[in-house]
Amino acid sequence: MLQREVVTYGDYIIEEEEWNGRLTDKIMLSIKRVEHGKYVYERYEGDKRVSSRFIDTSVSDSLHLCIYPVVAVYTPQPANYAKHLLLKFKDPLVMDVKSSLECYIKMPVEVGIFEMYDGRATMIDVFATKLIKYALYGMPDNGVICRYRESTVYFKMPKAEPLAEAVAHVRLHNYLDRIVTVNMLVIPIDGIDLYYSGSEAMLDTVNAVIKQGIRNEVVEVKVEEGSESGWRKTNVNPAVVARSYTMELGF
Amino acid sequence: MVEEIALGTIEILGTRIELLKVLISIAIVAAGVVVARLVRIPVSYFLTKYAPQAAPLASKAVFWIIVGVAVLSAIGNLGVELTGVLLAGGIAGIIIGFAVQSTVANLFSGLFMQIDRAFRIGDAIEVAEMNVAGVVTDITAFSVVLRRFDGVYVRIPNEKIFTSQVRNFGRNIARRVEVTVGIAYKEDMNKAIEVIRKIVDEDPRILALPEPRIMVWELGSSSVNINVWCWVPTQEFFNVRGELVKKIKEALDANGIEIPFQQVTVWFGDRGKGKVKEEEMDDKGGGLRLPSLNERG
Repeated sequence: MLQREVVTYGDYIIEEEEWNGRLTDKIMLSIKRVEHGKYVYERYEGDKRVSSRFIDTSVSDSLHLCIYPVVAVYTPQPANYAKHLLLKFKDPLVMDVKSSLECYIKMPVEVGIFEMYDGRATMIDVFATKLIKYALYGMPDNGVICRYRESTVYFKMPKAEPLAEAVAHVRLHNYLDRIVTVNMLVIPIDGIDLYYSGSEAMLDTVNAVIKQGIRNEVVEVKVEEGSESGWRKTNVNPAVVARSYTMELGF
Repeated sequence: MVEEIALGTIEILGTRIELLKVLISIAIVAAGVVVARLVRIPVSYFLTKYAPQAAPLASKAVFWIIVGVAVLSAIGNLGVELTGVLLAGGIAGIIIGFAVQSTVANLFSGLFMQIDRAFRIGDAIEVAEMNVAGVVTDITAFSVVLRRFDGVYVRIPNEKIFTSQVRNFGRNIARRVEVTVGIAYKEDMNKAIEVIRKIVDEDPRILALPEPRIMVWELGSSSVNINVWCWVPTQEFFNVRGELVKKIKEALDANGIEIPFQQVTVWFGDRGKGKVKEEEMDDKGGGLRLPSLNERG
């Protein structure tokens, strides 16, 4: 194998016969041109090849490869279990009557490998660099399966683990006339683009409103659309996605 | 004929009927058809939304019932005596009713099942009384079609399903996998639980919430039995069930934890001093000859 370039999130125009990129100590990516416009993509964990794809880009002399953080709903493939993230706070948040709070949390991300052509991104591989877990929010007959993560609540922006985590800024509002304890948030993440800088990733601001619903107290969680200065947006998902979710089964 | 029209009457089957009444009757039937069509649209829309399988049949039934009422009203308007017709219809209805009793039962069972919504096309179900399980591939007015797990096509009349206990494996989004593991009495239970816990924690398909439970469940005749309960997405149930047993066995073997065979220890007291003597084997050497009651003294 050739000398491996250390790669992070970003766009790569590959014109060489063979290109190798090292993402972590264990994970290597390899692109080999077999003939004009035809490439073989491979991913290695150590010396073991764990994924491979044949890519046909006959109309182009080069391959535009993107390595982007993606929301953690794709693995283990071909699962598609979840569209939400259940974030359990290691230390529950106690919120005063009619109060607001701003904090940061860490959430899992996966690494998506895309081929970009004519402004459209096609996912050719996706993987997680850390242990994947899912959880059930609610009961089996009325709940939803979510990607699961326990996170500490931070009041200053924490440093996320490269290629494994993203940071999300959370605004919590308690509209109730009582003190509430918040143990978890269910965040709708499917189809939402992340922001990246180097090997770090970030989600849009999450707005959570605790209020009285029709039958019980609920939390309305919404991922706000916005832009994070100094960070690049991945732009690989369709424009219209469900960015809000109402937690009616407890918080 | 001209004279009859001039007089405003018409003769049908020997009965003289006013032309105006004929026109009114035609108008009643026409209005009935229009009303039936208008009513069928919202009924069809509503049923397509809430009971899609029943929608075509039920909307047709609504249409023909309204048209039927309109036709009877039109006939009544003409002055035709309906008592005889209704009586004949009633008798015919009873005869037909007996003849198609099971068909009608299946039809109504199908409608009630749509309201009940115990399963949908694509669900994996088991009809307990009939000992049949498979994936629902079609629900018609009279029957439910299953593709059994071994690929065999099965058609079950709606009435039988409606009156049976139905287990729907795919209705809920998560199911609990249950595995019982027996370890030898001499083994460390806590170590075994730790080994199993690691397997459960590392499997991405096993849900973190509800939390998996690994419990020493009973002191069995040959082993200490540990129960493993873990929730998985429904579509992964069989995959996880199959792989979990294998992984647990491999991990316990790798950690030197014995999974004992079913065994019975026979004690002979002082006579054998804990050993089976050669002369106590039967003549063919294939088994143990236990002393007779006389020999035991």
